Amino acid sequence: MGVMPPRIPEDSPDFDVLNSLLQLEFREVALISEIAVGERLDPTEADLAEKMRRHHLAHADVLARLIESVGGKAGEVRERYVLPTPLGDQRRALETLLVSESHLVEMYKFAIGNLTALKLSPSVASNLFVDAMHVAALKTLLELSPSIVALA
Amino acid sequence: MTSVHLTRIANFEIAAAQVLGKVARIAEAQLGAAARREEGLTVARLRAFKLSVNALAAANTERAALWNTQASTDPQDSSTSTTTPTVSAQQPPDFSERLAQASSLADLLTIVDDAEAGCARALTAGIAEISSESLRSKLLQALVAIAEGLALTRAAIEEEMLPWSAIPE
Repeated sequence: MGVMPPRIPEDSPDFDVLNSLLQLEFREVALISEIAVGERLDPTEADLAEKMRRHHLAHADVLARLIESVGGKAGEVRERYVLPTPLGDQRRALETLLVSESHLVEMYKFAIGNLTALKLSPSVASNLFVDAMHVAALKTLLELSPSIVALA
Repeated sequence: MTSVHLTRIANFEIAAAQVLGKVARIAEAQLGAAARREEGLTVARLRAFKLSVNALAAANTERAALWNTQASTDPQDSSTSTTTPTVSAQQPPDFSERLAQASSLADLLTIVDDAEAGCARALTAGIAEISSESLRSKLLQALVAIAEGLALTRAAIEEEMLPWSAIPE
């Protein structure tokens, strides 16, 4: 999303907000990787999950670069993340992923709404946009009949 | 300055609604032609596409009214940045030529993608400028709705649902 914003004060709460989002993106990568283990997913679902995983890696990279570009230190990916278990069959695993993606969308909305440095918003909002597409895609796969609305 | 940003977003939404209205009419014409050729699958895809596009356009129109109302009722926001919006985000693009040349569902889908992505970019530009918490919340809800709408539209015609890792430029 274009030009990086200028540095922000080192004690800005935005660094915590952005690093929290970064860890959530890493966690999503870990969750999708776990779901993909053991050929639980059919090819169509596996392909979609892999796309989501790549998106989350790209989003983590965006967040890390953003944090560093404004004078902060991006957190590292952890060795392990606490993930829901058991993941069960394909449907249950996709339902679990939907809950997690929906949570991530809500966290992004909350985080962006509370950023003190507004100029940080566009890059973060771009991540939100794509994660919202993930939610719609999962609802479609799960045949939850989502509809097109003006505000979500 | 908040009203300036909201009005600009409304302009993108209105322009998108108009473009999508034209896309729906072209889809209807293509649907008729496909029906005459007895191409059942194409007819089904175009019908589903048209329904989705009409829903997207209705959402654009509804949001445009909301942004215009907010712009007229909240004209002052002293804490908002007074920077000039970036040139790329100021005016909705002209789709006339692409609409005139659209000959397939794929052509129409890219127009829909681009019109809605334009709204999404206008929204993100607004989010970077508007400090009102309630307005930012609405803008984020709109951004999510556009993203979901695009994914659902693509799903309706069995196109790839997740083609981008960021808002397309």
